[in-house]
Amino acid sequence: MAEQTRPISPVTQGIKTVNGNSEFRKTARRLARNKGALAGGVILVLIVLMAVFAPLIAPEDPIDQNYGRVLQAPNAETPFGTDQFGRDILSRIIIGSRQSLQVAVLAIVIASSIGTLLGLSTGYYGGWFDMTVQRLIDVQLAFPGILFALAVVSVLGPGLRNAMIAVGISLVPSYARMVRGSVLSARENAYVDAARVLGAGDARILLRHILPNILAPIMVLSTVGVAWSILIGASLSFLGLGAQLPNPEWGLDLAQARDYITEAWWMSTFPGMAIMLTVISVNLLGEGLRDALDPRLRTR
Amino acid sequence: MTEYFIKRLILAVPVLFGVSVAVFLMMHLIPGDPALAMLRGQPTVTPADIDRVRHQMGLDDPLPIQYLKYIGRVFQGDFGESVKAHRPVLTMIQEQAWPTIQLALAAMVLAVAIGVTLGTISALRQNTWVDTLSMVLALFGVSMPSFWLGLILIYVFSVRLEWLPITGQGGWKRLIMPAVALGLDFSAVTARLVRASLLEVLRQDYILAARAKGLRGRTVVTRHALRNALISVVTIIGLQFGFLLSGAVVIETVFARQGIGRLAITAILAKDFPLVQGIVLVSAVVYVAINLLVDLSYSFLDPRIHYR
Repeated sequence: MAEQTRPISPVTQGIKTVNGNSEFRKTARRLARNKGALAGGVILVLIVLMAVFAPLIAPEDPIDQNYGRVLQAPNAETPFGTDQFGRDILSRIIIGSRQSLQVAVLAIVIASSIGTLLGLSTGYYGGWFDMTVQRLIDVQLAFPGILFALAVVSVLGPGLRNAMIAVGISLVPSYARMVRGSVLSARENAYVDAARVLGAGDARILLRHILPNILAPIMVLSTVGVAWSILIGASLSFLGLGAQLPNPEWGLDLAQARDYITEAWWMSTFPGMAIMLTVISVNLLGEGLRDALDPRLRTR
Repeated sequence: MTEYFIKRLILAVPVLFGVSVAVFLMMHLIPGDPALAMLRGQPTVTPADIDRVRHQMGLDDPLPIQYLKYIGRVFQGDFGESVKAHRPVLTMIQEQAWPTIQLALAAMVLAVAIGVTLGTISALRQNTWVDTLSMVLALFGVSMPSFWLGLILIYVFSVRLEWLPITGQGGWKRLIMPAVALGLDFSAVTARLVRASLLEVLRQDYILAARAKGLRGRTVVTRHALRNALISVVTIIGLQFGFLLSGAVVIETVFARQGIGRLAITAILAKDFPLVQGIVLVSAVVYVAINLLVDLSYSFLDPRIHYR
């Protein structure tokens, strides 16, 4: 049976279309068949919805103190118990999801935009610009783990906004290196030469032809980055360098729980579970996405 | 080999130079006057105090001169003085270094032991419930915040069971929980890596040859397969040790342990920038050195690698 294909011009060759089924649909189908990714996706969507509608869902004001019910164990009125100021922990978890996810999302936006821009330009142009940027990245990568984020926060000062910036800048090298590698192979494709011959400028080639074809690894890296950002953001808040009291934030609430570990196990249990559940769902989704996008799994 | 070592050493120089410039510039990237920022929190701050701190920090000179003076002092072992404690920064770092190194080493040993065991069992029992359970545990391991695990361990083993002391240091008992909390993430990463590497190695022809020779399964795995699979683990040990050192920041706070991490947090919150600079510089230099050593160790582990 002959395949029905649309005529493909070299310029659009980067986005293949066969039998009307795009690579995107194939990837989406493979992702949907992965039970772990599906579960992760559903949980993540629920958490995001919780964050979006948090003020409507939270039963109480998370900052409202009530000294009549200090350090109360989980019960019918407060299913997750109360803290040292009588504040409802469930409400703090729901509203706190906004701060925790905000750090992760904005950090990824910062990292992916700066990193992708750097990766596109260094991979495409090469030369002294590429060499200089790679050495600067080497310098940043010499600061392991949370150390770079700590250094940035020490300069900018504690606070949620500065924590977002710190986490975001920490992730720039990962994006820059990955995008650069992808661009180095993508720029050798025929459709890039064809676009150039047809008069497309560098910016058009990079943004309209190369970038769409390297989005897959950027998406996979972003899921890993979100998971990492949630953990680092929560760590910074735990250390007193991120979100500040009395605002609810999962890492910050865990820091407060430390002083009451002997008498109020619920104060540390629920914020910790919230962080872990969110990170697990992102990791499951990320692994599923990676498997779905892996060329070795594609059938011919 | 010597040529490669010298080449790698030379390549590390610009990275170390860049690190020293970045650390030096930290002070000057602080919004506002760094001298005023350091004095914030004191009950009274006079212009004379600001001038004193500026002079003490050498902030009066042009930037390139400040850098040259800074790096000259660093080479002589003078990392400046803590603005709050009024003690040499290097001395303060040296006093706190050993507890952090001890914690990181303990975490790494535990993590490698747990990770290799879990990964090996998972690979040998591929696609069974053991494999699934191991990988689920690994997923939980990389997803669980280390400081939360620390709090859980304190509650279970110190508060409820009273088997281990809660906080502080001194003795191996006070090292167990912090090491487990710090090393869990690394053990999960190691387990996944060992599993993937071992599965790859077990598909090789020389493993088939070893089995055909009549060697016992355990011998095939331990003497042939595992040795080659663990090369990939060694490659990440260097990277992970750096992450363990930086991760100690959080664990030392959870368990109220002395160490460089806790010193760094105290310095950041107190805006003691000379101390922060010293800690960041030393940590980065140590990390670069560790990666260089791990890089050079590859050829000892895998004779097929020849350096040019």
